[in-house]
Amino acid sequence: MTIFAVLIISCLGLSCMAFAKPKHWKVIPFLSQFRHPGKRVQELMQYLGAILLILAVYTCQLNWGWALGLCFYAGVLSIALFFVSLVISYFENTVKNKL
Amino acid sequence: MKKLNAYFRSYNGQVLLRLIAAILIGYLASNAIGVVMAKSLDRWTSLHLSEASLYASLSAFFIYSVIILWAFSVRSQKKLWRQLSVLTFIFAVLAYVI
Amino acid sequence: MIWLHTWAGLVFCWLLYFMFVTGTLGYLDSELDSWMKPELSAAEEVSLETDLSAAVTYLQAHAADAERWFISPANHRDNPQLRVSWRYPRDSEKSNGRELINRDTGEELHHRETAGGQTLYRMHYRLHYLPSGWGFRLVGIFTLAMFIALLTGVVAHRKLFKDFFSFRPQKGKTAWLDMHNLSSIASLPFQLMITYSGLIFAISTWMPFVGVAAYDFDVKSLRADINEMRGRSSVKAAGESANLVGMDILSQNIEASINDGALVRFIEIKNPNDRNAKIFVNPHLSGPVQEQNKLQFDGRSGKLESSKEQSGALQTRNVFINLHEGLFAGPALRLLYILSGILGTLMVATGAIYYAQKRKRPTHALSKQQMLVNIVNGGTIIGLPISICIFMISNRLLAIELDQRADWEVHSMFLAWLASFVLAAFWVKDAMWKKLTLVLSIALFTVPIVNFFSTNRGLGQSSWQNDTLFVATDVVMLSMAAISLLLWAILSKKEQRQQSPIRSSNAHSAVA
Repeated sequence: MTIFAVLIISCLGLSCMAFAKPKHWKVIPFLSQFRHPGKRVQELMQYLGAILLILAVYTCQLNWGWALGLCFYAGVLSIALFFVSLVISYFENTVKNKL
Repeated sequence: MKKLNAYFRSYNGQVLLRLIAAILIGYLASNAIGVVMAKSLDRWTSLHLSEASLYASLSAFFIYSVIILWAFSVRSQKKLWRQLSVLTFIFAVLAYVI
Repeated sequence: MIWLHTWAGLVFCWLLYFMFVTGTLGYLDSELDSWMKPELSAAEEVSLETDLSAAVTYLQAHAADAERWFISPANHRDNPQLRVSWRYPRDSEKSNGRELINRDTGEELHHRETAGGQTLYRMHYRLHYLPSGWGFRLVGIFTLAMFIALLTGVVAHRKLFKDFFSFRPQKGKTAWLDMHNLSSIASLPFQLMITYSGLIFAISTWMPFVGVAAYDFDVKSLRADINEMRGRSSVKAAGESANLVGMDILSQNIEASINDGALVRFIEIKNPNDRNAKIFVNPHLSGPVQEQNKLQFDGRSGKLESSKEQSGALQTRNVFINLHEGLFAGPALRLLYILSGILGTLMVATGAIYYAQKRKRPTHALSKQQMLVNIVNGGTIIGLPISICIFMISNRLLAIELDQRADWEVHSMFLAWLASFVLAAFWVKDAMWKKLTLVLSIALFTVPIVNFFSTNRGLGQSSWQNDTLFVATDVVMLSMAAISLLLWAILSKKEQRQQSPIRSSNAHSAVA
């Protein structure tokens, strides 16, 4: 079960980091109607993303210890990154098709 | 002879020369660096020779890859050959001396 | 750098693809083994003592004079059945052997002769049909090329790290590049780990000089030191016979000295029935760092003699090796290993396809080299999975009593691969990818169907009996078949869309 928690936390962290950028902000279904909130918020979201990713490492460490935990973390992070990127590109394409 | 000279000036020849430098001379250099590393670890730390040479062997492939990368990033072919052979020579001598 | 990346990638990518596919399947080697022996089902785990005494009774009856015995109790995914093997000295005329044992009857378990998942896994580092040693050497070179391609990829495309969340599937050839970047960046830690640890396997073949020269070319003392470091003891047989310790005492002693919760991976008994008998116990790994070393017991009294600490250097090396082999991985981590392996496979495949697509001009016909690249791409990327399906099907369809059946399974795999190259060459001018994916989909569908008709563990029955392995195999095969069918549909649609403009341009050039 922990592995799903780690997966979700990593996905959230990565999405935070991605959506901090105006380029990706534009594709979020609901929020995109608003303007990108600016540099301060962008930095804040990036920090939040980093904190979430560190939280994911910490969860792994608590559950499996360093050696095994880092293996889990590397694996989960790969999957999360792949998944988040695919989702973003899906949104990007639907946005473009609408225009 | 002239033909050979012309070939090594052509694009393909330049690439071949670079490959030789990277793969052959680089291999010699990385072995020499590895040996120096093993011997100096053995001499100046408390590691046993078997451990020192295992550590050196573990890093040898990394050294080799870095040398190959470097060989392909240096602009001038002459500079590459000069520096690489000097490097190899120095470490070979060091490996022999230590 | 980009130049080096392209060429190091292209020259080596087809064999690297082979290594990635077989290596990823290697994480399922034991499962594939069990699938290919449908007569057997996994033995239930009972006590260590039962397994050991059944194994020793068998070995005493069949190989009492062997030099070493190996016993793997049935307690792990690696050994679903109790397994024994024995070895004679090299100069002996008697032949070594290995058997799966039924622990209740003490007899061998009979199953069809099969190459199994182990053979497929061995191709990952030894290739096949090559004189021994050459495959391993070649694989070392390819691993180095992979490592260099990775490093150059990181250096050349470092801009991408700032913004890698984009994949543009509708932009034609850039989609391949994006997929290549995405799959490699996402799994970069895994790729670096797997490639560098792969290189560490090649140290003794390609970098032996470092150790030898550090010992001033004194190979004898180097060997002695390595053996000592690895804890290989050189116990000689005394020549006097003596009774081996009772397995009840031995298993009690093992359980007392092994870490809590650790399981015995295998037991080696050296010089059994001799006064100098020694017993070595290797525990299963619980993580990438080995927590407990092998334990040494006296063969007559069964007393613990030593458990030597490993040196730091050897531990470092073993961490790499363990990470590469992933023997410690439980189901969840094993799944992550497999997914990362699939990402690596995607990386190699999309890179190769991108290379071919980038050089394609829409108005020109393909040149001979481009055609060749396309044939090899199609024949490898789609052909290899097809041939692995044929490998699995041949396990079910070849006659049970066929001579050298295991070899023929492998032959049929490579024949199928050859056939898919021929198909690719036939179709290269006309929708090769579409047709090959259809063939792949049919091959994938065939596996569960053949399994259904040739064994009594088809999908219906296996799901009724909670036979997880067989259900999972069938479900995975069916869903992969569905995915490739989907790919086929997408490719056909794309072809229809493209057909009209291409025709008109062809007509135009014909007129001109």
